[in-house]
Amino acid sequence: MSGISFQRGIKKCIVRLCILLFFGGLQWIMATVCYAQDTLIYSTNTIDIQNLSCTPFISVQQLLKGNVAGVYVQENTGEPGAIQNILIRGLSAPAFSNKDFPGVLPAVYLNGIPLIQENPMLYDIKQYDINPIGAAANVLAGLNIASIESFRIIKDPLELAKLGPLASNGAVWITTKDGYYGGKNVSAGVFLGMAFAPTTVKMTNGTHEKAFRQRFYDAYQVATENRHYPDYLLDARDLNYFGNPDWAESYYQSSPLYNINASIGGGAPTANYVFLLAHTRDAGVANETSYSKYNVSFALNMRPLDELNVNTFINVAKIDRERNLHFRDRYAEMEYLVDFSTPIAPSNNTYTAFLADNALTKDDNFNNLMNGQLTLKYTKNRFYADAKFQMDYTTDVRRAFWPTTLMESVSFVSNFSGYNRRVIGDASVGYIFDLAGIHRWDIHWNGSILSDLYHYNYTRAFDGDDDKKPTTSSGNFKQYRYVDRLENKLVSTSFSLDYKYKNWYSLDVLLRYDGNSNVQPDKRWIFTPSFSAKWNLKNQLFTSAQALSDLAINISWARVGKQLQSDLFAMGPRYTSSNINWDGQALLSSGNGYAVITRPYELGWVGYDLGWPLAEKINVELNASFLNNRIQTSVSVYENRDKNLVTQIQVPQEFGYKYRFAEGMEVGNKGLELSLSASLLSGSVPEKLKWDLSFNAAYNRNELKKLPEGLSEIVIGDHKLQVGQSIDAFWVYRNEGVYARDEEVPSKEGKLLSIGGIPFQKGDPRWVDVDANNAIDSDDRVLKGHALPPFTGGITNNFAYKRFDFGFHFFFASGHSALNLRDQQRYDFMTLDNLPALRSVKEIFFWQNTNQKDDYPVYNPLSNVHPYRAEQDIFLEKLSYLKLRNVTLGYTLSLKKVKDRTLESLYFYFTANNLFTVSGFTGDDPELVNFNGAYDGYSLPIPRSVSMGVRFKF
Amino acid sequence: MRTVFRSFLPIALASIVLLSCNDFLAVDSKRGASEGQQWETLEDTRAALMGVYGLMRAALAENNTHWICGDLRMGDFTSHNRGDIQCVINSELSKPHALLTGVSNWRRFYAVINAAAVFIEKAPRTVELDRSYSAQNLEYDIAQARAIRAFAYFYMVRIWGDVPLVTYSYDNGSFPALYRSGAQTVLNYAKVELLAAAQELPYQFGTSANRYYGLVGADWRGVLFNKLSVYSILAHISAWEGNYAETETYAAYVLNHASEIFASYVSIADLTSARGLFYANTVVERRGSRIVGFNFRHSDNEATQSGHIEQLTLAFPLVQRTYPEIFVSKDSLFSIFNDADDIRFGVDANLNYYTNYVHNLNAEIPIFSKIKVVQDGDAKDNDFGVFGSSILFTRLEDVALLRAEALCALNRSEEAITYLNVIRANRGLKELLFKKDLENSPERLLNAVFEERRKELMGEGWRWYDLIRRQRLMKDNEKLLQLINNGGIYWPIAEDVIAANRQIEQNAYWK
Repeated sequence: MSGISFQRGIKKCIVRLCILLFFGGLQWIMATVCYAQDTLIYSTNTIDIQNLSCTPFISVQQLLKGNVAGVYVQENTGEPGAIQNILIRGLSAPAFSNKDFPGVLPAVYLNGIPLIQENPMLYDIKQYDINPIGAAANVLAGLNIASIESFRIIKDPLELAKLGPLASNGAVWITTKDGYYGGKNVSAGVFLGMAFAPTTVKMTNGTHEKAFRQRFYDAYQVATENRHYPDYLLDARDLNYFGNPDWAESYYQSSPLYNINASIGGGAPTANYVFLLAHTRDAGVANETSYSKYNVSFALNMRPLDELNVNTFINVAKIDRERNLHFRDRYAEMEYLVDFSTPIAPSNNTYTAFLADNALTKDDNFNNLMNGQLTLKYTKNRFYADAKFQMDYTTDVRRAFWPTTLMESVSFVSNFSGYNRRVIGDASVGYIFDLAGIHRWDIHWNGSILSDLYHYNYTRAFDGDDDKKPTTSSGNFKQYRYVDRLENKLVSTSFSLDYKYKNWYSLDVLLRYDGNSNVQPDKRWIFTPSFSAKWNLKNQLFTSAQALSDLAINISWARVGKQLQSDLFAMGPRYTSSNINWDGQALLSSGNGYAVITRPYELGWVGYDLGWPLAEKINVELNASFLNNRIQTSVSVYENRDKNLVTQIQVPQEFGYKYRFAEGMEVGNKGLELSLSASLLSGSVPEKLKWDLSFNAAYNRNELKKLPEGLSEIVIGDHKLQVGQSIDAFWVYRNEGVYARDEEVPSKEGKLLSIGGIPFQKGDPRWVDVDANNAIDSDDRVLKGHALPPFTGGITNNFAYKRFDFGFHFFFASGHSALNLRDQQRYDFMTLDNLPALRSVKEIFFWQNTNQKDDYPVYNPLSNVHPYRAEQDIFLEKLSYLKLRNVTLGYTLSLKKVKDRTLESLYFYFTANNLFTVSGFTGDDPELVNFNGAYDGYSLPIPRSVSMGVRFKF
Repeated sequence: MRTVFRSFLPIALASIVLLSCNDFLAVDSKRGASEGQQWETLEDTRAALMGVYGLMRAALAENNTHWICGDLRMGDFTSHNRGDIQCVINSELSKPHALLTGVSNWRRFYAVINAAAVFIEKAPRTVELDRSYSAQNLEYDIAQARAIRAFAYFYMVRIWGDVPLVTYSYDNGSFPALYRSGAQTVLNYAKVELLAAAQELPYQFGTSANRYYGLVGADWRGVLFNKLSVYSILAHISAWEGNYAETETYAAYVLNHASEIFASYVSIADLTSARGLFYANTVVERRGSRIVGFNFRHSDNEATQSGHIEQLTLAFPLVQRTYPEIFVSKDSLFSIFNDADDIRFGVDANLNYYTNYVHNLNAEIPIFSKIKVVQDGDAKDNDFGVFGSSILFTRLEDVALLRAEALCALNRSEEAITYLNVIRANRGLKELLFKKDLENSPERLLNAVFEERRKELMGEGWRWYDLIRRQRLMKDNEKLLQLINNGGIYWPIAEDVIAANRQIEQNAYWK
């Protein structure tokens, strides 16, 4: 294929090395001419990090929440450091389970390094979609927030195309302090705060639960012998269940949080450095959950020659996370179910006894993060070239031991050790032609190689001899071992041509060629073009308009391949070793003691001819600023089409496969985004009030445009995808109340309306027979609502007066819904009481009343039609909310001489977070909903917290 | 401009280098085997063959199908607080319970059938690629694959009646929509396949001179389908068809050659001990008696929480669970086991009883503890509830009673009673005399045979099918007769199956 022939036997790393050396060498043969190129295009999508740095937020996601138009972040649990998702401009593909989300998330770049994130393979061996194996941490919470210089959201299609397939869902571009550029060279900050336990917890007990059930029995005059009560509700003299419920004091507790950070820098423009340290502790308000991280980073800039810039930085973090003690999370990890018919009692005695049993528990969750890069930049006259070596390495360790006292005298050990490693070599060269300052051409070439490796070893072990021997090596445990390893390689080359006419018009063209190891060999390479055009109206037409500072319109269109998350499709039809298990019994992989190999019947048939999925994006953006840029506005309209996506489709079940995979699905996202930032009162005169306002709002709507092979709908588990409908819709029966009498049940040709052959009766739900075939079946389920909000936004106000400043931030999300499974499970007690299933596990907060209204129709609990099934619209609730995220009050102390040194600035601040929520949602906090729209009530509350801090530089 | 060319030459070169990255991009995945990587060695065929067994095991274990379908409907078990199980007992199979929809989906059986077809079509390739994989070995393997596939069809016909007949793997991504074939057509196919397999299969796999996958006969005993496994399945198929002449032939063959596979009648201790017949690694002498069975070897981490009757029947103190999910009520026990000498569960007037089948008769809910392989049957304590019992389809007692049933149906009562008496004698019961005890009544003898099956095979997935065969012969229960005639004995077909293939029509009874 090439002049240089690589023999098959040569190891891949040598190939990589050769190529890197080639690129490196390329830099040095580049000739003359200089012009530094700024890769960043004008954008309003930046975040005021200064304001956010007063908050105790620890993750990238938290910092983005409600701050940028079109970026949606939802914290679905208040457990610190738990996994959080970011979506930019909606869902690019259907995401029904946690495993689907990595494929729709944006790439996060730290100083240009695309951070490696968790691979969905961590869910591959899980039966329950609750946590991945391992520490299950949010890797993006590991950054040192104080080191962040700027935050930018990249949504422009051409810019994303320049970043390539990793950024097909958008990108978050984080720049940290990368050197010292004069000024004060030491800075330090500290804050101390408190996350407060909820003040009013409406606890319930057996009396409440019994009365709740009584309603149903009374309404239908259920005979006494048919009134089912579980054992724990039988004896009203049992004080544990029927006494005063007082568990909350042991479950919820206020916890301290703090951060200490410091940096020191030095040097001159030719060589400078910055060194940063930080330690942060964040805390949840239940189960003593917490999150600590230690950050160290170092950046160095050198300019050994006038033309050559050498940048390097390295960033290291260690994370330690204390997780919740929920039964559900534990059983989901063990995948060993016990008798769940008796929940833990609502008395404090019982709960403290449970906590005492936990004393022997070990639950260590550690992550180490390390990333860094070395950049060489060479610019001479009109030539520029750079070479980068980037590396990101994260480790993930979990060591858990749960003693016999917790689970029917079975102890459990979980040992997980995994790492993700990304190495990138990247080089580019360019040349700028400038004809008399009127025509300007910038020709640019880039090549890069990326290699990812995901690997873990995992052991689960059960039933050790002795709680004092909590390790697999000593305890005589029954052990189950798992190993997995996934490699992903991406090779890219791109060529771009940017043309500029005066400062009026510009036209950019990008052509790229990408190859990915996760795509089948004959379709491994994809060619994608992108274009962008910009017209600066201000410069051409309104040069004399004083009030108008800027007016530009930008149209950008791009096509870019999408990175596949798994190597599942790369080899076409395949054999697997793990398909002789069954529902409820994953991971059986041998028969008669021998390894087995079968087709992947559970997962689905993978054929040949699966190629690259790709994203097509178009964006029109109008930017205008007025009054000397005091008011900046931006409006953008976009449409994203994610095409050729691979999805599971139904197959006749007579060949053993549950599904087969086919390409050709297309998802469209359309939207409108508005941003406004205004300096309403300039405060230019001292002693006058200064008022800055920034506002963002976005509308997004997704639609399934196409399914593979011309299908119009497919069903995946409990979800349906239908062309022309949203991909985040709920699939439910429409409920119109209850049949109060037998005579109300409609009939056709003498046959009563029925479900699964069972005719409806008095006390059954009135589900709408949409297709009027006199039977309620899956064809009568309709798509309704959205799991993700079509409308999102936020508003920030900052005031400054004399030495005081004051700011607050609201954000909102609207138009989405949740399926209230928590209520559904309460109402469905007849089914769940004795079902040996994970969803019948009741936690201590089963005994807590949120804002429950209990206004659902009362059905006959003995009905045969499973009246309180989850998939009906009575459990669908609107989630729209407005939250006051935080309020900050700051004071800058007057400058003082301290000994011989000048304390240049000393800033005190006070922040209160999560102050109030306006929402009609009955299930507590409307954010605590799973990403797929299911509200199960298992999340920890997002705490209300206050913190006080001080920052200074000298 | 020269500088420009000087810079673009390397660019062109770099592009070429990138193209050579095809090698770099050819990642050798450890997460599966491609078509080219499978079927190359003896280990590959062994893994694929064990895969077929594993899938069959999974098909019977998923949702505890073997017992849910075999022991519950109109059976002797009572459910404790499990609404879904109660529905099965009441034959209300279309109710919206996950268990019922799970059982009524036949995909898991078709995975067995597909895997067997893939094996049959592709394994011959290995003979050419790996010289240690002999033609004889291939012959044995293919015969087993055919036998398991036929067994899967028989099992499906018992559950659903008419099922689509797939005889080819379609291993090319085409998924044609097939119709349901008549139950008889499917059974005919299964019989032809089984007869062919029986010709090929040995009594024992491997000898010290000619090993089978490196092992000898005793190692494979009670593990793989042998010649008699196939004949006993044939005996059951023909009995299901009502073709008792054939049943008698096949059953006789099995009984006459049982010693070839080291199958024998098992003592009550060997049957019910935790390390007895149902324990995968029981003593070698006992393993041969598992004529058709699927094992879960605890020593190889194959013991599981679900897929065993213990999951349904055991409770404290045998495992850490307050109540069993199903149990045989005291009333039923007393009426079924009406002979105090019955060492399975004989109970006298003072409530002294044999504990082989039942634990804790004094409690409100007695535990049916006939099968109780917790972990490896020798757990240090019984708190970790994974079970290692085999799913046993047939053992010699079953074949003997089936033969007795066939002989009754063929009006050879005097011969029939000898087989009944063999089993009775083994269980401490006195010999029955056709004339004296049964008053020369063939009906009473047939009834006695079925009653004996009920006692002997309780909890082994037979009761429901026995009731049907009994009813076809005796026609004394209007309700069941009606179910047989209107197809109500079959399960509904899962909505998922019908949604995925519109050629599949729901069983008329469940429409």
